[in-house]
Order: sequence, then structure tokens, then C-alpha cells
Amino acid sequence: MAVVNQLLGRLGVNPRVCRALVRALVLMDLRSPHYGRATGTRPGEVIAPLYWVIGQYLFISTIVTALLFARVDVWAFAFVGLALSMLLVVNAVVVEFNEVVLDLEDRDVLGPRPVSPRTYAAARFANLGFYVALLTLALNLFPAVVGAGLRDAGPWYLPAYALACVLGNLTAVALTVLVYSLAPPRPGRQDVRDVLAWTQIVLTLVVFYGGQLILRNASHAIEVFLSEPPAWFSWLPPAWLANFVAEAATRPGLHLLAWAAAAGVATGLVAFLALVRLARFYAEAQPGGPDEASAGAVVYRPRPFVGRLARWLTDSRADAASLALCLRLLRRDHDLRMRMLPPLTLAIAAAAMGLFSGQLGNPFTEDAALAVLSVAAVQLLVLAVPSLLHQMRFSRSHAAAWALEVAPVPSVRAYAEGARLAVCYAIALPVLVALGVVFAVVWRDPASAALHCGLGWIAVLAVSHASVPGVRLRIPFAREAARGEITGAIVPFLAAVATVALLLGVVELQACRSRSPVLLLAYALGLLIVLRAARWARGRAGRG
Amino acid sequence: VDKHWLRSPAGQLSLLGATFLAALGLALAMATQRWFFERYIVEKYRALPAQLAALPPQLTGAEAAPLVTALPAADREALYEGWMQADDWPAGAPAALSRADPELYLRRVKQTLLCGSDEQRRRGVRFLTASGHPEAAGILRRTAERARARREEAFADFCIAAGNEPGGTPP
Repeated sequence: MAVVNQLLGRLGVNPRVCRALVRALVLMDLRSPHYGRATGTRPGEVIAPLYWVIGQYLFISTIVTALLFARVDVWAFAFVGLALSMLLVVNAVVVEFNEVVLDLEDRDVLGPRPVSPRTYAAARFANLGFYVALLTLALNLFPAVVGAGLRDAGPWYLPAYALACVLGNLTAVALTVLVYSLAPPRPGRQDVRDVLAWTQIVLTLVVFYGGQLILRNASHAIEVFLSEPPAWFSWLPPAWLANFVAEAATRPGLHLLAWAAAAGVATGLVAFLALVRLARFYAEAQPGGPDEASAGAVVYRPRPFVGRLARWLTDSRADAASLALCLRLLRRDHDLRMRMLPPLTLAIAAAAMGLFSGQLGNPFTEDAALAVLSVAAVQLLVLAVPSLLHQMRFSRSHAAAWALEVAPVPSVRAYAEGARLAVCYAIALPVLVALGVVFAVVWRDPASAALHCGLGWIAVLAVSHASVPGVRLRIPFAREAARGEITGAIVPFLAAVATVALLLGVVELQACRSRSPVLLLAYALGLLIVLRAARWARGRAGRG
Repeated sequence: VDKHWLRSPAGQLSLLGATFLAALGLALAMATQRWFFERYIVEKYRALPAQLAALPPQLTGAEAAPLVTALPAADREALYEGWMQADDWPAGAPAALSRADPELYLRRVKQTLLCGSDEQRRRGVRFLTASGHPEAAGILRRTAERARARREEAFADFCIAAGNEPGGTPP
């Protein structure tokens, strides 16, 4: 301990203060889902949202490991495991943890106290390390242990893989922190998150499409590709780590110790740079700094808060005002827009996969096997609706929700209705229209595309009505985006909606397959009845 | 289980620990049951289309390659899958096929050697040695090396022996 204290002291970090801060931050990691918000505790929840996030990553790594186990060779197995781990850890930092890393409010609390920026940064970094350690374990437990059972894996596979995943994830996180803190911290700035958020979309495409290729593709494209990867693969960091693992697993030798030492030093250097940069970043984040908006102020002509579109889509003035507020926040709140992207990725991935694999056929005229992804893309969009509505509950400016609480509206139901309409008309409908255009072009049959998307639109509306109570949406933007809660808390409800979406997809495929207009009409009528029932049930629940 | 304790940081950490322990158990079970996963490493072949049924007896050697060259790519691939399932094709059929479209058939046999079952891989080796293609020796050598790395000594020996047979291509 004395050595650690001495080392921290040389780095300009106060060990005692740092330990106290780390303890508090780790405690908040675990407690904030239940107790952290001053607005009240939720004693009904036993499982922390963080647990669901860890479970999701564990599940993903299990599936990928099972798909690749006993195939190709130890290099390919290690490469995929390490690449997936690094990408998902970076993704977690971007999507879930960025609120904490970039949170400027801590300075308001700690500013008057004798906490040096470097000490605070070290504590934040250690806290980040705790979170990343959990994710690293979840993502690499299966590849590390199961990979040891590969035919060409020797006894050194497990320690080599463990070292490689720790070095790889640490470097990836440190580089992410460096990229994040490139620009000076100012409120409301647009940063590199736009670029990084696309990592998740690309990754979802790769995992979703790659998994399908392994299971379904008769040409075994993924395995063949991994057995003879292109030359540029050797430039990728996961490939360097996979080379190390494969070498240790098949031809262990002392030369690998030098490689491991060099990689360790490089990782330590990047981590140190990130620590220093983070310290400077927080030092620059002093309250009362210049606001870039005030530097180049532009005079806008005032317009009515509630536009024609909001009035046209709603039945009451309260609904219209709520919809206008939601549309405005969707335009303004960068974090909200970024959080809206992940739920849409599966629908986009299904359509892309259909285009690549020739399974984006017309369900009304082609075999079910050739049209399954056309139906899946629309149903996955239906499945995204609860997640999108769930995201509308959170905001960086959640503390301002009191204004909605005390607003003179006849019923708070109007707030949820505005959020529902915003999700349906501002997010789901444009994506559905885009899918419809793709279908129309690929099928060369705009009428079928319109009918297919029209049926999907009815399902979107029905699920949106059911989701308002399902995700417990009462007043939008009233909750803080706590880590883990953004993706984890609605998993049980999502499972129920997924079952319904799957059922709808199967029924639609059967109805299309029969080529019977009567059955198609019955399916459409059934959807309309479900929509009507969902609206009625929600109305009753609202009155209750 | 005491829910109050479960909601505490210690309880949540214990829950995570228990989950990781369960995951470790599952991972160990998977690692020791490789045979289960290897059962699913197999190529699926379609039956030879009826319009190609008369062709195999004519593929007696490399000189029969033009019969295959005239076919569309899907039919040429179907011939490979047909050869993999039949034992009564002429011995020169692989040579005829490889001469007609070496790129397709070498790619296809490499895929079999990577993704096929043990029986399919042995047939793939037979195809390769009977093809007489100049690249066959290199592919056979790499296949034998991969088999040795995977501790499949019997298959590695089979590759070497097949290459050393009369008319074969020594690796």
C-alpha cells in the first residue's frame, strides 16, 4: 500500500482523497439505480439496471463464442473475441458512461473542497476502471475459458488471452477518454460522440449479419474469410493481440514475454496520457466559462411554439404543446438523439442483411424464405418503439421537469401522448418510409411496399399505445440518464413485445404466403382491432 | 433471500459474482464438450439436378473440361456437390472439373477442408489429389499442417498418404 501511495503522490494524486472519492463513486455505480436520485427510491426493484447491462454483454459473448467454437482456428477465435470486447467496451463508455466522464456538475460540488484536478481525474479513472473491469469480465469470460478447449489451444492460451483482453480494453478505453476530451469542455457543445455512436450501428450489423452467415450461409463466408483474412487485417490492434494469443497457444516461448512487456508499457503510457488529459479537462471545466453560443449570437425571428404539424396531429391543446416540446427537445438534445439510434439499429441491420443476402424479397409474391427479412425489418422497427419511448423518459435537463409537473394541464396523460406521437411520427414513420422506399425499389412494386409498410405502421401505433404504461412513461424528460438504466430496465417488457412482434411477423408471412386477399384483409382488420383495443385499454388505465 | 440485503451494494456485488460463477460453470462445460459443437461442423450438399444427371459418366479426364465450361456457375458448383455425394463417378472427374474452372473448384475444396465434417474433408482431399492441379500440393501441405496443429494426427497422415499415392500430388 505504501508503494501505491508513493506512486500516486509522485503522479500528483492525493492517495487518501483519491481512495475516498473512488469509494463514493463505486458506491454510486451500484446504488444510484435505486437510491441515487433525490426524487425518491424505488424499493420494488431488486435487480440493479447495471446487472442487466452486464447480463446483456455476457449473453452476447456467449452467443458469439458458441458460434465460433471449434471452427477455423485459435487466431480467428481470439481475434473475434478481442475485437468484440474492445468495441463493446468503447461502446459502453460512449453510450452509458459518458454522462459521468463528461459530467461538469461534480466540479460544482467538489470545487470548494481541497481536491486537486489530478486527484479527481484519478478517482474518475479508477471508477471507470471498475465499470470497465466488470464489462471486460463479462465479455471475455467465455472466449477465455471456452477457447482453452479449442483443438489447437495449448495450456498458455488462457493466460495469454486474459492478458491480451485486459491490455486491449484498457488501451481502447484510455483512447476513448483522450478522444472525448479533445475539445475544451463547454456546455452544449457538439463533440465526437456523433462519430463514435455509429460504432454501435456498425457493430450490430457485424454481429447480427455475421452470426446469420455462420448459421445459415451455405458458402461459410465468415469462416472462409477468417481463415485467410486480407492483408490490411494485420494493421488492426485486435489482430496484434490475436497474434500474441495464437503464438502463445501454439508455439509458446520466451520471446513472447518481451512482446507482453512492450504491450504493457504502451498500454500504461496511453492510460497515463488519458489520466493527465482528464485532469486537465476537468481543470478547464471551471464554472462560468465562456459560452460559445454567446460568442456568435444569431437573432432568430420568433415563431409560435406549437406549429401546424403538432396541432394537426393532436386532439387537444395540451397534447399539441407536449408534442411540440418533445419535437423541440429531439432537435436540441444531442444526447437524446444519440440514444434514439441504438433501438433502430436492428431494423436497419435486418434490411441491410436482406439486401446483401438476397432475402429482402416481396412477401406478397415470393417464397417466405426469400422475404423473411422484409417482414423482420418492419417487425424489428415495431419492437424498437418501446425502447424509443423509454428513452423519452430521460434527459440531461431532467431537473427542469418540475415545470411540467406544475403546468396547468387537465391531465398529465397529455405529456405521455406528446412523447408517443413524437416517437411515432418523428422517428418511426421516417424510418418506415425509408424502408418502404427501399422495398419499392428492390421489389419494383410500390403498391406492395406501401401495403407492407402500412400494416407495419398500424402495428407501430398499437405497440406505442401499449408501451406508454409498459415503460411507465408519465412525464417525459423527468429522469436522469443513470448508467445501466438507459438500456437495462425495460428488458422484461421488451421480451413481451418481442413475442408479439414475432407472432405478428409469422402471421403476416402466412397470410402473404396463402396469396389469399381474404386472409390479408383479416390480418389488417386484426391489426386495427388490436390498435383499437390498445387505445381503449390505455384510455381506461389513464382514467383509472 | 433478504431483499433488503440484495438491494445493498454487497448484495448487488454478490449477485454479479454468482452470475459470473454460473457463467464460469457454463463456460467450463462448453470447453469440455467440444464434440457437441463439432457435430454441427458439416457442409450441406444439394442433390445433383436432374438436367446434370447424364454428365458425370462423361467426365473421364481433363479433356472433358469443355463439357463443364459451357455450364452456368451454379451448375458447376452443383457438380462439385454431386461428386462429394457419389462414389460412382469416373476417376478423372475431379481433373475435368478443375481444368474447367480451377478458381471455383479450388475455392470450393478449400471451403470443404475448413468447414466440412471429417468424412467430407477426406473426400475433399481425394478430390484435390485427383485434380492434378499445380496448387493442390500447397493446399494439401497447409491442410496437413493445420491438422497437426489441431492434434488431428490421423487426418494429417491421411493427407500425406493421399498425396503420395500413385497419380496423387505429394504435399
